[in-house]
Amino acid sequence: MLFNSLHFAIFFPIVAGLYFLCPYRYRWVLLLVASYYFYMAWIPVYALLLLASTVLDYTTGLMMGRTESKAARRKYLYLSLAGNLGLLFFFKYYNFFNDSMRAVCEHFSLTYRMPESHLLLPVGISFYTFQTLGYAIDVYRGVVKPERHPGIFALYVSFFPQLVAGPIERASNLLPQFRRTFDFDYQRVTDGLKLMAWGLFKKVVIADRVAVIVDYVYMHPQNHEGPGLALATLFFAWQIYCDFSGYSDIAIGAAKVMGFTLMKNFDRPYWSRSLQELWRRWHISLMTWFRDYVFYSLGGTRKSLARVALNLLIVFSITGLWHGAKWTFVIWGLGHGVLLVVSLLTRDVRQKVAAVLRLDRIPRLHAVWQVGVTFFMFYYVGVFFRARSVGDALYILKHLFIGWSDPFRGLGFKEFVFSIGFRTIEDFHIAVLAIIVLETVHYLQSRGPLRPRLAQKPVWFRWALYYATLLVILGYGVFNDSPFIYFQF
Amino acid sequence: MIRRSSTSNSDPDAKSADLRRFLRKLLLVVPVVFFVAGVNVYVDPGGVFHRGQEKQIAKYLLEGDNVANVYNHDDRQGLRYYVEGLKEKKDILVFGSSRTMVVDSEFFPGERLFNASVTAGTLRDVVVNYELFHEKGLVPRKVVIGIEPYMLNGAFDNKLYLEDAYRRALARLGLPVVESTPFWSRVVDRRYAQLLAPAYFQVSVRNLDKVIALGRPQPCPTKEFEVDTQMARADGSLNYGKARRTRDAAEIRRKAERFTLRNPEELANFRVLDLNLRRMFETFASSLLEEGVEVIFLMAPYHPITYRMMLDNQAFRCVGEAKDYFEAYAAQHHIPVYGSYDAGACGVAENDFYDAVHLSRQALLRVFRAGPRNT
Repeated sequence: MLFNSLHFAIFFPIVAGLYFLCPYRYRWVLLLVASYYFYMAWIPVYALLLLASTVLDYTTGLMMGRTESKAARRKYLYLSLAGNLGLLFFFKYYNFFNDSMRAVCEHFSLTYRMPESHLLLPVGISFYTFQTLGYAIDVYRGVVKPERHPGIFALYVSFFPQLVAGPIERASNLLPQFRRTFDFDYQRVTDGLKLMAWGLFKKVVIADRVAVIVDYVYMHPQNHEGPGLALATLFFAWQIYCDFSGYSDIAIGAAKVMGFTLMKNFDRPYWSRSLQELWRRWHISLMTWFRDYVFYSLGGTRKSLARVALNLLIVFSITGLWHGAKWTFVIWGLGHGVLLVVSLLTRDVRQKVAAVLRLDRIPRLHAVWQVGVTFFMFYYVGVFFRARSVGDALYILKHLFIGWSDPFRGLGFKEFVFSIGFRTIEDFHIAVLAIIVLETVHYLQSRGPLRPRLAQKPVWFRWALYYATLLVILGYGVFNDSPFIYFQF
Repeated sequence: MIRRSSTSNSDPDAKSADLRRFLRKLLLVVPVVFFVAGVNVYVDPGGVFHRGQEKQIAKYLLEGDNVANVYNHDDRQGLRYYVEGLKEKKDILVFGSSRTMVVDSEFFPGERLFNASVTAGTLRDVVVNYELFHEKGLVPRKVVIGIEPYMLNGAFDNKLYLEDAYRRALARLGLPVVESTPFWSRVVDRRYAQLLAPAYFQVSVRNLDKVIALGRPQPCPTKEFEVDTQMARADGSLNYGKARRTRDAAEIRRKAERFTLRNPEELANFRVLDLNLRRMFETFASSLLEEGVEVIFLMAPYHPITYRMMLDNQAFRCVGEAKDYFEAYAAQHHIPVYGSYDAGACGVAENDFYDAVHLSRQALLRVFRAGPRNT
């Protein structure tokens, strides 16, 4: 079920209403049933995978809790890892592995006869697999106690607001919340609804609108030159951000309406002044997962510089692979790893250059420069994330800077806009205006939380803003039930 | 046993005050809801709320007129009214989707033809619409079926077919009714979902000024063969409006390219040739042959870009399987097959299309005149 569908618009108010009417002791049952219904609205049979993951980690968690022996606990952890990663490999990476092996064998003129899998990737498998894996590792490390209530644990794995695209919640944050009793709280409910509306704005007004031209240009990049490729890539930067952070906002808002607090997943990443900062503000739940369970396990920053660099490359390659079973994603992740290593190695030099140039005297200009460079690096490597193949990505990177002497290819601006896939010139204007609104809000957020400041405004101002937001979503949103990009991960 | 910690407000009065406050604020959103519904009903670009056009159009067609200004009416209901008023048999009936709507009398000179194709027509539509004629004893000599690959996609059902006639048709054919419509959609007219639909609202807003200035377009009888607006001809065929007929090559190509970017609803989740639909198709086709009706299959070509997308994308591999299945059935029962989904095999070019899936009348006529491929 998509958050931007009529189905969800009916489903959510019913579930939230029943939730507050339901006696506290049965609420977990209601949420569990609702969550499985939510998941089964896609391909019902894939709920069995969710169940299998739940049973596996519930059991291994209990078994780890019953023994003091580290060796035995490690055995159960390996069982959980093998089971979860096995499922993930089979459904997500099998064909990738198969194709890569076939290519290698063909290169050496060897026969390779493994059949292809025609199974569809189960929605959200990477998210719930990582959430349950995080639980198993935390239980192994003794960070959390094993959950004994099977229903509560099943709800932890399947909680519908964050089931298919996160945030990937930690057991220590989410599990205890299922034992709390939340009453109807006006402030919390309205805050949650406002966040959902903001997420919907990002998704349907920005992400889905610019998706048209991104898809169009990236389908046949060879038909376009620098300006078209650059504009599509620029729009892609906002498409991916608005699509995913929009989903996260709706998820966090929906949970908040019912009283639950999910972790923040994005924090104005494009305002970051370095790539390290950007990665602390982008898909926070996944990046902290990799930090805590992979990077620290490899030694983190306590090792030598060379080892830290290697750890970064490993973690970011896995991050890329997590996003998709294609070499483009691996290169995207590795690209960011390399940039981070370079950034780490040149930190002292850059600081010295800044001191020599006395950039501290012009802090704003320095900040704009840093934000610009950081965004450009993210933007440039992002081509691999969106391109359909490594060949396409290389073509785009090579041609981004070609053809600028006649940017509109002699067509005039309007025709140029049509040639890159916009249906009307108004679509282009709406997309640009909406992005300006988004970044203005981000700027205001950078000066402190918006809610208290908004609450101080007169009631007519606030309601004019709410009406305007609603009408903009209704009037300028793209409502074609397009799925969220991160569902495929 | 679940042990709980409470974050609840222990004061019941405060709790209900919170709820009352929320409900009061919720009332402030009601004007937006009424505004959206009001604009949708007033402009009604799809003719969902202003019924009556269908009867009017059927009346004009029965009187032998072409009908201009035909937009977004319920063509299934229109067909029902048409058949109710029809007095004599047609020689040839055409069933299919919008892709076969351009088939007109010129395809079969000297014979009385009626094109009963409907928008997004499915196999159920073909069976149901034929049933309307059959029930009135208006069995034709020849039936042209516009064969669409998605007709065997069990995952796609637009649920637009006439429900009552569907049940009667299956009963006559001895097939079990496979319930495809949920209970609520049989109780509540699903078109009323448009009342608050944002996409419908956006089209309404775009047309608001025109409707205020000129009113809603009304169907208008005419003897003209071609007009600027979309027109239903007396033989049931459709003549697209001038804007669509005169699209330039670049725009047609862009439309085809855009089509390939989305996952077409009718082909989504098409993983197997549905057994129930196959059974329905075979039973229906056999019943036609047993009644002595000559059957023709028409496979209207897709735009080359669309067709390539279907060939290249593993998700659409069932398109090819469906095509093979229909051709094998045709060979087995000596049914002529006209056309092919592959435009190249039919000698039509990109410029012969109106968009990604609709071939122009002239080009389809050319394909038809080239004769069946399997004889």
